[in-house]
Amino acid sequence: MISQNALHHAEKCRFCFMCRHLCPIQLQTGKEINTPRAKGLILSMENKGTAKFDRDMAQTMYECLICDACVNDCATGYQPPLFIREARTEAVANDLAPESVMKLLENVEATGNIYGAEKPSFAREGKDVLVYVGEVAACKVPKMAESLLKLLEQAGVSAKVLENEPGSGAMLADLMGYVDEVAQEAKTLANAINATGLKTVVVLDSYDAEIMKQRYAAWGAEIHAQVVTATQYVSDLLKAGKIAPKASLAKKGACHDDDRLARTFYEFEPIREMAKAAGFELVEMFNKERLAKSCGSAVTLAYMPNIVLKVASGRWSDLLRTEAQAILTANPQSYLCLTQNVPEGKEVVDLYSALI
Amino acid sequence: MKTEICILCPYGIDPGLVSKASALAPGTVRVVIPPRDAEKAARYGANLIHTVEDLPPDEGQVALWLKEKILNWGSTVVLAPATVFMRNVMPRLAHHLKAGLTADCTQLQLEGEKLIQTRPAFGNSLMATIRTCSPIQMATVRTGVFPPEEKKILNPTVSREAFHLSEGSVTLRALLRDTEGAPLSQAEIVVAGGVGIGSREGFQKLERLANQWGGALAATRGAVDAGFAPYACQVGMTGVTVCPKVYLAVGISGAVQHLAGMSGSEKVIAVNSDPKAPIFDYADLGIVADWETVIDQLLEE
Amino acid sequence: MNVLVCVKAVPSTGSVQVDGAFRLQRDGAKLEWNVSDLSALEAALSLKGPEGRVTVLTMGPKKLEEPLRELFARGVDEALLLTDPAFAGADTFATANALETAVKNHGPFDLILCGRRAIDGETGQVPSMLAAALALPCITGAERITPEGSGLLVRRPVEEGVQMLFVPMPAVISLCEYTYSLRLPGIMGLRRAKGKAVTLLSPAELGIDKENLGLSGSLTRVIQMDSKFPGLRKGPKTDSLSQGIPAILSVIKEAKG
Repeated sequence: MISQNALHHAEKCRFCFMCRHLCPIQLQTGKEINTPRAKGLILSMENKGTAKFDRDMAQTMYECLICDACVNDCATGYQPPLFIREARTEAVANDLAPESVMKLLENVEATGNIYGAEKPSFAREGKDVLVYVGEVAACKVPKMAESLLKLLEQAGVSAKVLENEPGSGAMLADLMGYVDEVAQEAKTLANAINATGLKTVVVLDSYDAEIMKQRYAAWGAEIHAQVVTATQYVSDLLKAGKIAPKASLAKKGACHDDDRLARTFYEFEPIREMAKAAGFELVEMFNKERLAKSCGSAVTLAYMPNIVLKVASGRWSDLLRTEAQAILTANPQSYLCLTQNVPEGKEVVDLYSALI
Repeated sequence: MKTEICILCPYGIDPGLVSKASALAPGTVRVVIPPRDAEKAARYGANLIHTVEDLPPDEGQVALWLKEKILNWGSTVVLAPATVFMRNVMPRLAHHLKAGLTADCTQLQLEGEKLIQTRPAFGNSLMATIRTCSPIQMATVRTGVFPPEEKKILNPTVSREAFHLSEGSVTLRALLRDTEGAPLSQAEIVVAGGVGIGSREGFQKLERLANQWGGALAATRGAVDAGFAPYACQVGMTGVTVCPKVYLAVGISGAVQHLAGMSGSEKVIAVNSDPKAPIFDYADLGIVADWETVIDQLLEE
Repeated sequence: MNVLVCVKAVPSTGSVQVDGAFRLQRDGAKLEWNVSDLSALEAALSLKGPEGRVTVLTMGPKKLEEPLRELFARGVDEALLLTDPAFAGADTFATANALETAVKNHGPFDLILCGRRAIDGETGQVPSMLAAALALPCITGAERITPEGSGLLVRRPVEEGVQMLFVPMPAVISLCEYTYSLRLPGIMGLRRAKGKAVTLLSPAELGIDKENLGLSGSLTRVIQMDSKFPGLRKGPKTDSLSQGIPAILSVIKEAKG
């Protein structure tokens, strides 16, 4: 039951081929079925009754990172993720989603996060800002969360972290689209944030920041505080002289613009300021900023590790074409994906840890 | 016999509408008004004046009462200003009288006994001309479209009517006075943002600029749907129509439905980073630049 | 509470195109649910209570079946679609008559909610006409509805301020746009929706004479329709801020006199 609006986008996308060369999955698999156009065609056929939405089609809908590269590239303003998300809703509602996806949904139901493990707590009291750690950093990249909190402490910022931090809905929205269950999770988190009375929420994971800033208000889950990305916040602290820059490392590094900073927030300077302050000599990969190629996301790595490993390699190959020794990121999801297969002699640097 | 026009303003007179009626049917204008407006009614051309007071908050009862009156008077053309109250009363009255009703007219003509009505639809982008085929012809008229013109009736017939029906079932608990400033529809300078603004914080910036200029904040439907700005700010087919002296369109691509709501602006300035955005075709001045840079500079001025 | 919500499919504002002569082209435009009707639907879903039911009623072509089914996924229990060529071309009078018959056939309802006005016709007359036909009280342009005892407390903006009105049930209330934002469909709702069908209603089933429907049952006739599209201005365009900023400021200064 795809909405009329999503069908409209699918109908337009099925005729066009212009974004195929930048779908990070298609670039690795080489399969036509992995292009946004193919997904539009499938939904169009299903709508016209010439094909049935089955397990294979559902599988195809999940072979997408929702990295927004195609949206960014579309000259006519159509948005493949719009119908891809709805197709995922359809898949879950009809029990057609891949098993690996259903497993993650069961994990969320059991533990509140996709990893099905208890989320380590970073809870602390503070009076200046609320830090939202998010499930990927907490479960998989705890060092990054610890470093951010330490950095804030060094800068004299008293940060609070919620006890039993609720999920943001970002993971669920990728797994089953923008459904009421996601909006309910959003409301729970918004209420928890609003109850603190703090004026600023510093969000470590830009994927969480995206859904909080772009979606919550429309769902009646308004956050009263100002939501800022941790990268922006830290870079402001650097500018204000609250964090001291490091001595030069005499090492070349290239910043990876994660999907959300690159194509939701168009936030490019802060991570580069952080990288310079950490002592790196900056070089740039050929496709950077809005055109930065995705290295995968935590949720896709969890349900289709083989494909995402290739996607991460694709990003590494961009780095290998530069003189950089390190790929620099301040996003836990990018860090997680990129550390899966680090080429010999290269490293992934977490910019928060690098600034301590 | 000349066609009589009956104007229903039981909650307060619309002098422009009385003037218009008196131009269409001189000497045969009947009005229903509160007692305080009797003198005004005669000044703008009404010769049959009925005053009524103490109307109940149940507009259904008001409609029932008016139905009796209209049938008694034998009026065949019945008009009312399109106020909140009359927009509820008139459709009910039309149902009771089995009369065709046209909403929100901006132009009226009489061809013999036939009322020719013109009204905008689809956010001012279409103009429909409408004829009524029932014996009684009814219309509500957009307030303020007809300028009041004095045309004093020296000895009008004034009668006091008593509202004799029951109160009905709706009760008024309280009337809270509006504390907000001048509404968007009357602002002289409008600063409007689209989805391109990207966040509520962005809209707060635009609002600061609007305040700095003594103007009002506006938004496109996309921005409102995304929760970046409140619905009260929405301009276009699904929102309000504005006609300010200056309309600053920031990060707005220029979709038809939005243009429909702001095309009456005296000057339109567009700020957009996409040089191909359609809004530039409908602007007197276009700045191709990142919106935030432009707004930050304007805020510093 | 047993609530009926009247909804209308209108041309989607996003899909209305302009032709070469800058006239509005509505043919081929997609349909979407009218925005204020969605406020009414959400109000119904949040007011009905655990034992309550929400029925939606609309009049239009058969292709509205699918969009109506989408509403099941958001918690609607029943959907009624008045569909027949005889309904076409109805003005507000004929529309209210058709809706009245459907309400009488499928009621009684404790509450009937509608949107304040449809974005295509923009008359806002149907809710009041329907209420008059059913001899029910009607409050138009409500912002918020709160249950109170056996009735409802309704917040309604008027020219002089904001009214707080009390109305006993049953009643008809029309809602403003965006006062309630419609919930998203949920996975559970979608699963439930799969087994549900839209109820199609024809004039024969409702026992109405075709004479009273559609164009022949209408009391007004549109005799002419003109497009009034905003004129092109095509003013100068610059990408230089050092020119642009002073230019904006001078326009503002002039406007402020």
